[in-house]
Formats: sequence, structure tokens, C-alpha cells
Amino acid sequence: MRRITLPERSGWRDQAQAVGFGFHEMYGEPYWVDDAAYVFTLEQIERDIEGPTEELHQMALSLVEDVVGDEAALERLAIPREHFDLVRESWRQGDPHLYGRFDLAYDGTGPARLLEYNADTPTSIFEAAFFQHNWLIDRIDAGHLPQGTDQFNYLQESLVEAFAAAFPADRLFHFACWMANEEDRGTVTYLMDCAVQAGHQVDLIDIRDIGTDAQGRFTDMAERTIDRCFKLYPWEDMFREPFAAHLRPGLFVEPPWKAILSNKAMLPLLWERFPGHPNLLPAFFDGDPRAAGLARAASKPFFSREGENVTLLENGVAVDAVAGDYADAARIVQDYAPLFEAGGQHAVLGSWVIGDRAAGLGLREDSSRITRNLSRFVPHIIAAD
Amino acid sequence: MSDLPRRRFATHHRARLAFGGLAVASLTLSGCEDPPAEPLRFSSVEQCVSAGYERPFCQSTQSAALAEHERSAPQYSNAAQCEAEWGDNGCQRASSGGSMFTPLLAGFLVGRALSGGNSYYGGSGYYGSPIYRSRGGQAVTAVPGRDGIAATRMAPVNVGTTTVARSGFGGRGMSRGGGGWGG
Repeated sequence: MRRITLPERSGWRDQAQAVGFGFHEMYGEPYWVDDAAYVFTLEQIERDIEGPTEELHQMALSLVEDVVGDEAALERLAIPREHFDLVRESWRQGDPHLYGRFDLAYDGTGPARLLEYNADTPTSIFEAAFFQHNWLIDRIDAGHLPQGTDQFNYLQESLVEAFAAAFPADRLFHFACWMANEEDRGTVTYLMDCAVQAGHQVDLIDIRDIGTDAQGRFTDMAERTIDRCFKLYPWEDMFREPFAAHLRPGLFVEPPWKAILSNKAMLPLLWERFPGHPNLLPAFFDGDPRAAGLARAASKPFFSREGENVTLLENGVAVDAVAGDYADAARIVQDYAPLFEAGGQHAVLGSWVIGDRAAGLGLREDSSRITRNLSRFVPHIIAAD
Repeated sequence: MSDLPRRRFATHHRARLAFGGLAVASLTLSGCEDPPAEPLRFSSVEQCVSAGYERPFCQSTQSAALAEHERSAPQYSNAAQCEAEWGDNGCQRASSGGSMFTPLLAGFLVGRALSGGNSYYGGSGYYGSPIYRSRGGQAVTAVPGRDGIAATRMAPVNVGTTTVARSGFGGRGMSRGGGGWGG
């Protein structure tokens, strides 16, 4: 694994604009990095990323199987008691899931280590699946990279496949998100397009525009029932909002059982279930005396996003922290794993599971050791032999 | 395999996307009227596939057009009346049976654009609309208010209902500043 630089593609900003990728800049900073790439060998991808991703996914599923039968575990995951049945039912009746992203620490040597699992509302799929792919093809066509250069990326094909395989096209497929957020809206539009490729009829709705009718069914703005709905909005919030009483299994994607996995409290549970697994880091609930034994550690709230309220600890003392909205939340403590570092940047690997298959990779880098909302997306390649 | 065998993951040529990326989301937000997309016309699923679209997409689009045709094609009580409007050999017996005639279904439309805002939905003007061949040989479709064809109406798969409450989701997001929930 290494980081290379190359001249940026002329006109890539126009290309981004043309496909609606307006958030190639965010917060006034570049987000998409066109003039650099992370380079892997095929062996590194297959042995250290692809294989472990599928294994981690299977481990996560087996954890769900355990947890749904264990009220104490549901309690530890801070799932509201009144929704235990919803979570259990959605798992037992086999509500299909679509996708998730494992964030991994990996530097080209040794096993990749799981930092967290974005199993409920992962973003950066458009960048990884579409724009990164175009970047590679452009580079090959322009002769910047040899013909045999590859990328761990069959994300788009896998999304279309998963939409076709997991969901019958027997009803309108709604897609809900917070429309005012450009990144979320872009993510959802892209997924919607993949659903269309798979034969679905789709409609986009703002999460706040979802209604209910007198029977307690969810409704859209055209007074149609919502019978299947992808939502880019977290379960931990939906559980606690006014319409929570109307939630039922079999309707939303990701399904309610993903609430077990999108929660950082799953990390200590996973460590209890698979102690010493090479792709896991020791992790404990806050206050567990074993956490005190970690020389360097990351303290993370159960539900924070984009690094908010994550604190790095050395011998229990905070050395680095990101502010945020989750300061009061319950926390876990996870052993520290160094990230790949080059050119003053720290890289986190986002390894995607689509359906049940490891389907691709996207990297984000940050000048800080805590990957935040200012992190940048950098394409990757698998070097030709 | 025309693709390079040495690459295991990334294909060189991918199927086209219906929305062309995220552009539609920007159009939707900026409140433009119907985007100036150029719908593509296909007379068969094979033709649609060879234009680079995914087969399930082409199939569902064609089915949507057929359903829309059966629902809302102009009807005539005899062949002569129909042919007066649609030309010789331009008509067929209505599939609903009986003695009615409708124009021949000549194909279906595939639009790059969402029709009427956020919807990407069969039979509503662009995507999945039936195509007919007019007397003069021109391909026409039943867009409301055009070419004298009765306005088509979307017939949703989903049940129509009456909303009694809204804004029951999204509030906690709002309280955190509406900053995006992806991770």
C-alpha cells in the first residue's frame, strides 16, 4: 500500500458538475481528490480486505442472531424497549438489507482492523461506486495508468443486483432523506438510479414529508401509501420520533435489525463474541475496568457520525478530541489502531458490503487521526502486475 | 469477453444510468420545470438493451408502457374510425376484448429525466410511456395536453389514501442542525 500523486484530470470539475456531484467541495474545502491515489496489490485486496470484509459481515450477522434473543443485549445497545419486537420481528422474518460500510485501519501489513460498521446510513457510495470508477477509466484511457490497472470496485453492478435480488418490483419504492443536505440527497438519488436499473419504480421524498393515514400507514405527498422505503436516516432517531409508534417490520431499508450493527455498542459485543479475532480491536463499554488497561484508545459515543465527540486517550488521558452533538451519549472504548500515514494524511478504508458480498473500497483521508466531516475522498487502484 | 481479462473487478464499459448520476437531484432542488431531457424511443427490449440499458430496466419500462396503453389508449368503436385518425394498419383490437380499437403500440419511452418533479414512475409522460405512430409517421406519446390525445393518468401500484399527519420523522435531525445523517 502506498500513496501516489499524479496530475489532476483536466475538466474533472465539469464532469463532477455534469453528474450533479456538487459536493466535490464541502465546507469550502476540496472533498474529492483527483491528483492522488492509494495503490494496493491484488493480494492485499483479496487477502486483507475482501476476505475479511465478508468474514466481518458474517460475524456481524451472527451477532444479530444472538442479540435478538437476548433482552439484556438489546438493552445494552440502547434500543428502546418498546421497539424490541420491531427489531426482533424484522430479523426473524428476514427483512432484506442493502448495504453497509466497514471502516478499517490498514497499512498494507498485518490484518485490517475494524474501527466501526456503518450498517444503517452509510454515505460516500456515489464517490466510491461511480466517480472513482470513472476516474480509473479516464486514467487508463488517457494512458496515465497501464491497461491492467484495476480497482476493488463492482459496487454499482452489485447495487443493481442487490436491488433486483432482494426486493420484488411489486410496488413503488420510496427513497427518503433529508433533502436539504446535498450529500445525503446525492447518495439517495444515486441509489434510486441503481434501483431503477433493477426494474423498480421509485419516488423521492423528504424524510419530514412522510405522513400517516388514519390506519397508521405511512404516506407520501401524492397520497399514496409507502409500502417500501429506503431511508437515509438513522434508526436511533426514528425509534424516538413521533411516528415511531407506526413503525412495522418489512417496510424500511435498511431494516430495523440494522440498529444492532450501526451502533458502536456492537463493537464490545462483537469482541465478547469473537475475542482475539485478528480483524477486531479490543473494545469495552465505558467504565469496564479492562478499558483502563489500554495504553492508547479511542473513546466513542454509541451513535456519533463523522467523528463527532470521538476522543483519543493515552493512558486514560485525552490527547485529541473532536467536538460535536453527542457529548452526553453513552460511550465505548476501543483499542487504538494506527492508520496508514503518508504526506501528513491519515487514511481510513471504507470497505463495502452490498447484499452479502464484499463489493468495493473507498478511502478517506484526514490530516487528523480522527476522520471527520472534513476528510477527503481519494481514489484507489490495484497495480497491474 | 471483450473486457480485459486481467482486471478482476472494474469493468471498462458500464451500463448507462437512467439519471446520469446525481444531476436530477440538483434539478429537482433548483425547482426547474421538466428538465430538457431527450427521451429515447425503443420499439423493443432488445433495442433498449443494445442502447446500453440494463435488461430489467428495459423490461420494466416496456411493461409500464404496455400497462399504460391498456389503461389509457384512445379507443374507437370501429376500425375505420381508428384508422382515420392513425392511418392504415395503424390500429389494433383493444386488448380488453370487445369491439373497441386502439392505435398500435409502437414502442416505449425511456427518459433521462424525472417527470414532474421527483417521480420516476411508469406511464407518466416520460419513462415508460407508450408510443404511437401518428398518421404522418411521427412517434407520439400521451403527454397531457399534447397532440389531442386524452391525458394519461398515473395509476399507482400503491394504494391511494388520505394523510392525517406529517412531519413525524426528521425532528431529531432538525434539532442537531440538519447536517446530514450519513456516516
